[in-house]
Amino acid sequence: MVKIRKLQLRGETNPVLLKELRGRMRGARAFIVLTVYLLLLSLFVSLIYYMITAPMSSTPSLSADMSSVGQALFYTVVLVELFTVAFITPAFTASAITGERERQTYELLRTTLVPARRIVSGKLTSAMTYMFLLILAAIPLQSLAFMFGGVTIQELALALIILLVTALTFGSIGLLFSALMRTTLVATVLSYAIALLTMIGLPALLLITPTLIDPILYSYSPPTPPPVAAAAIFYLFYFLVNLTPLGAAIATEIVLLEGNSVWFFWMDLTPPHRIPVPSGWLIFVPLSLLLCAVLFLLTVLRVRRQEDR
Amino acid sequence: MGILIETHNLTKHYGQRAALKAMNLTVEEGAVFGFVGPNGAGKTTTMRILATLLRPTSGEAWVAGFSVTRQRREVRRCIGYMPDFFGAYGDMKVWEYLDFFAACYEIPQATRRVLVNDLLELVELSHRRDDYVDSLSRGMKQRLCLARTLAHDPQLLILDEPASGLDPRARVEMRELLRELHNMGKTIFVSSHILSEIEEICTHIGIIEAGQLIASGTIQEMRERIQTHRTVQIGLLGRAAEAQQWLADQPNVLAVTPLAENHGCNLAIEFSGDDSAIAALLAALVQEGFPVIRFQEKTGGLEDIFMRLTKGVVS
Repeated sequence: MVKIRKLQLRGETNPVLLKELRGRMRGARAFIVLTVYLLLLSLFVSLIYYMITAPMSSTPSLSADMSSVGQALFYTVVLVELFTVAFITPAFTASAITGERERQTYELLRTTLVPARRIVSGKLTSAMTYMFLLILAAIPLQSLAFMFGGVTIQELALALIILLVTALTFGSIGLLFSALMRTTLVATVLSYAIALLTMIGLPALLLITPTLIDPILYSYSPPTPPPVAAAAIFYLFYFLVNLTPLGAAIATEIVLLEGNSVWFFWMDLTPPHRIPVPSGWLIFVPLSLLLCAVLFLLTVLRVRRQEDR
Repeated sequence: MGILIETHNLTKHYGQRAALKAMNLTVEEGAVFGFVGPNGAGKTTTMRILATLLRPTSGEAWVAGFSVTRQRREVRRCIGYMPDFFGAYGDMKVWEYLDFFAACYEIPQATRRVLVNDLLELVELSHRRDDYVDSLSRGMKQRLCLARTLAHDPQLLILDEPASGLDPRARVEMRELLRELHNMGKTIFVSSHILSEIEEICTHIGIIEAGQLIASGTIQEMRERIQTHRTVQIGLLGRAAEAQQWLADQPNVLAVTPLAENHGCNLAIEFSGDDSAIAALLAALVQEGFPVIRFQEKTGGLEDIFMRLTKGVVS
């Protein structure tokens, strides 16, 4: 009897997910956000298109290279999407648990039989579903690049993977803060602080790092550093770069262009030494998914815990 | 009748402040237990611990034999908890609200539609089924909240100040609803500081003050505990002064006081005898020819018991 009941329940949708989706998609709000997002994205794409094609019309010799137009459009869409995902997802998840507290529904929910992990997964899945909708809705704009050439289907697929994993990571960060903090305001501020650090702070820091490292590397006598040291420093730097979505996206693209591979390419270090450089997404995706799993677990543990006050 | 709620030295500290001090409480199955105490006495703390929401500092509590700290899921299956505030999802319709909580209590989808309709009928909200929760009056929201606690047919209802903030009509409706639920066999653990509201429906009361349970038992037991003598009110058509003198000389009569109403023809006597002594007094009064039109024992209400037992201290 218990088994039959469990089987019946297994087929049922997570009630928290259903409620969240109902609330999120009800009314015009969800569609207005989607429309404004696509309009802004289209505006960016149009601007880039005119910025690139305007010089071409005056200089006929440039018009042959339409593939650069395709690449520029593709990069623009992915860049805008990366920032959108990084800054919209926390707004959805940072209020997920604190919102329940503020509406005074958290205790009602906690006295039901819904386990903490279902509450957390319902909240996360609902936010992710909407983010995935935004990402998928932009695919036609990304695909405009195919009209001009210069972009492969692998690039499109990898960009999609990086965007989805970025959304999941920032969603999980927002959700943890939402469970830890008492108010939505504090949870949102902290989530945005992390988003700013990851999307702007860390890439900026990494951008200036080579200027700090190079004097150390070239202080060796003879002037080239030992290959092992050079490789170690490169790998460390490359690893840090690929911790950020932006860095991973750029590194993935470089490997695609340089090595014509989605996996890795051989980079010349100090001749005759060569080192294999994995594609950025191979570092970013597994590490981000691992981080998401840890964040999910921590959120569940916090929600499961009995309150002290 | 088994015991449904039991606490053993239940203690809760908020920092340095003790909200509950080694409280031992038992609530029998089938009872309507009024948990009475001034604001800040520890009522909500006790209820939140029993609802598995709050971790006690020390001591233990069991609901239907399950520990509220170690067997939370089993406890949640047995209880319907209604806090002293109304938690609402503003963007939900009335039926969606109940359907959502029924789903949260693992009621299969196939039976939820009928269940939701039954619950709405019970709390007389069927006509507001498709309205948004936010559009309901406070009284309706309280009834909806009560319906929510019943979704999984729990043995025990833990209701924290269910009548708080309601207008007189809504209070009466809430009281009638609780009476109906008691008739349906539910054990109800209800807190209030509006004593007259729960007095009529309670079978037991527990009085809490400054985190300590200072008295608990059936209402009759509590009355007997605090009343050393009985008060009888007598209404006469006339000869009040004469009757006052005659009564003062009777055995078991401790004091006779004329009351202001009925032109001074009403008397109150403090009496220490049992039921047969009261009957004998009435018979003698009539035999003496006094024109008695009313002879009634005044029973102390919950309010009296509460005022006598508490000192107005908060923890």
